[in-house]
Amino acid sequence: MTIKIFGALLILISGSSIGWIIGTQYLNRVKELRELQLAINIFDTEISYGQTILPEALKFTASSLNSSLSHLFEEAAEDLSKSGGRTFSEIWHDKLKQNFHTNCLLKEDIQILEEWGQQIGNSSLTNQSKANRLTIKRLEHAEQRAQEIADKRVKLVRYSGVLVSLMVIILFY
Amino acid sequence: MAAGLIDFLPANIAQIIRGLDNYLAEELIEIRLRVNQPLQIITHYHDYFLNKNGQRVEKPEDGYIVSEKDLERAFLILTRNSLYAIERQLVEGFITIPGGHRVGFTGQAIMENGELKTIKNINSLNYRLTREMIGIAEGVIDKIYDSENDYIYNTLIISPPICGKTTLLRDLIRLISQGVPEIGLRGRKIAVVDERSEIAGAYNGIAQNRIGNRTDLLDNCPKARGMLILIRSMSPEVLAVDEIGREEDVRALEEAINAGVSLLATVHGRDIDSVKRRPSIRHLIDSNLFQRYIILSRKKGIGTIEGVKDNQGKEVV
Repeated sequence: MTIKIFGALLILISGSSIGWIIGTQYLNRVKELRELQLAINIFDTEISYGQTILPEALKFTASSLNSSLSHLFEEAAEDLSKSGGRTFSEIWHDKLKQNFHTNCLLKEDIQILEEWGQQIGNSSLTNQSKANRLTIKRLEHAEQRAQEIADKRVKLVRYSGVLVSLMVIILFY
Repeated sequence: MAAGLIDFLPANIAQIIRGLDNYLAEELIEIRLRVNQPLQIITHYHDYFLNKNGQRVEKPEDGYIVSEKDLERAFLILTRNSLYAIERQLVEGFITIPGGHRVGFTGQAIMENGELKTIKNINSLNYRLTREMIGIAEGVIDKIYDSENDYIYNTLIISPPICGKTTLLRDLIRLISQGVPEIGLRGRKIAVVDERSEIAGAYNGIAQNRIGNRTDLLDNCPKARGMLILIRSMSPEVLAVDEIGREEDVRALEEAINAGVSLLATVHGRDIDSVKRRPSIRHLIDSNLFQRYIILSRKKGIGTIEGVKDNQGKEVV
C-alpha cells in the first residue's frame, strides 16, 4: 500500500512538474523577446553615440543582459575579435544555431535575429539605426503574440500536467 | 610574410596567399583584388596572376577570378564589420590595419553638395604591405649629421613612388630618436606628422612600426596644421613629414625652420631638377632651406640610394 501511495505521489509530482516546466517555457519566451528588444536598443545607442566597433558594442550589450542571451552576444563578440576572415553575419548565424537549445526562442524569433545579423556592420550609421529600429518593432510584435499564446496556454498546460498524472494514477488503480 | 595582413583577407583568399612559395611571399608588396578579374600580386620587379592554389599562371583567365561576393566579404572584414564606425574615413580611399598595412579601394563615389560623401560598391582593393626595413638608414645617417656642431641637417628625401622613401624616412626617424653613439649622435626629441598613417602605421592612433623612444606622433593630421601644432606643443628638436608639396606645407616648413627645428621631409620626384619644376618646392630649394638631399631609385631594388647631395649640388661623402 505504501509503495502504491509512494508511486502515485511520484507520478503526480513528475506530471505536474512537466506541466509546470512547459508552462514556464512559454513565459520565458516572452521574457527573452523583451530582453532582446532591450539588447538591440543598448546596441543601437552604443554604435550611434560611441561609434564603437562591432565586437566591443556586442560585448557591451552582453554585459548589460543577465539572461542566457548574454552568451549569444558575448560569444559572437569573441569570435568576431579573432575573426579569421569571417563576416559578422556568418558568425552570428553559427552562434544562433549553437545557442538554439539554451533559450526558449522559436524558429520564427531566430529568423528575426538572423535577418538583423545580415544587416549589421555593413552600412552607414543611419542604415544601421533603421535596421535596429525595425528589428525592435518586429520583436515587439513577436512578444505580443508570445504573450497571447502564454496567456492561453500556461494555465492549461500546468493544469493538464496535474490532471493527466491524476488520470494515470486512477488508471493504475 | 606579413601575418597581420593575412587575418584581414577573406578566408579563401588568405588560403591562396598562404600557398605562395617562400620567394614570392618574401618579395610581395601588393595584393590586388578586382571584381571579375584574376587575383594579382605585385612583387618588387614583376606582377603575377595566381590560381586557387597560389601558383603563378601565365594567362589571366587561368587565375582565380575574384567574385563580387569575395570583394564584399573582404571589405567587410577590413572594416572589422563596423562600416558605420569608419564612414567618414572612407572618403580618404584607404583603411589602415594593424601592422601599419594600408588597403586602398575604389568603387562608386557618392557625392553630396559637390563633396565626396562616401564610396560604395567597392570594386577593387589594393593591400599594400608595409615592411619595416630596420637599419636601411644606417648608411646615410652620418651624411645628414654634422658631428662637429652636433647638428642634424634639414634633409629632403627625393624619390619616385615605391622606391622606399617612407621606409627610409621611418628608419631615419628611429635612428635619430634612439641616437647613434658610433657617430656621436645622441637621441633627439622628434615629432612626426603622419597625415596618412604611413610612417608609423598607426592603428587607433598607436604606432605599429618602430619609430624610436623619443618620438611623438600626430596621426592622421593634415601636415601643415600638424607641424604648427607640434612645434608649439611638443618642443621637438627634429620634425618629420612625408610627401610635402602644397603651398601651406611649404609655409609650415619655413615656420619650423625659423623655430630652430631640424627638418626631415620627403617629396615625389626623380632628382633635384625634376622636383624644382614644382613652384612651391622650387622656392624651398632656391632659398637653401634644405642642406641635404637624399635621392632614391629602384636600380638595385627598393631603397637604392642614388646619392646624397648638399645644397650646392655636390655629392656628400
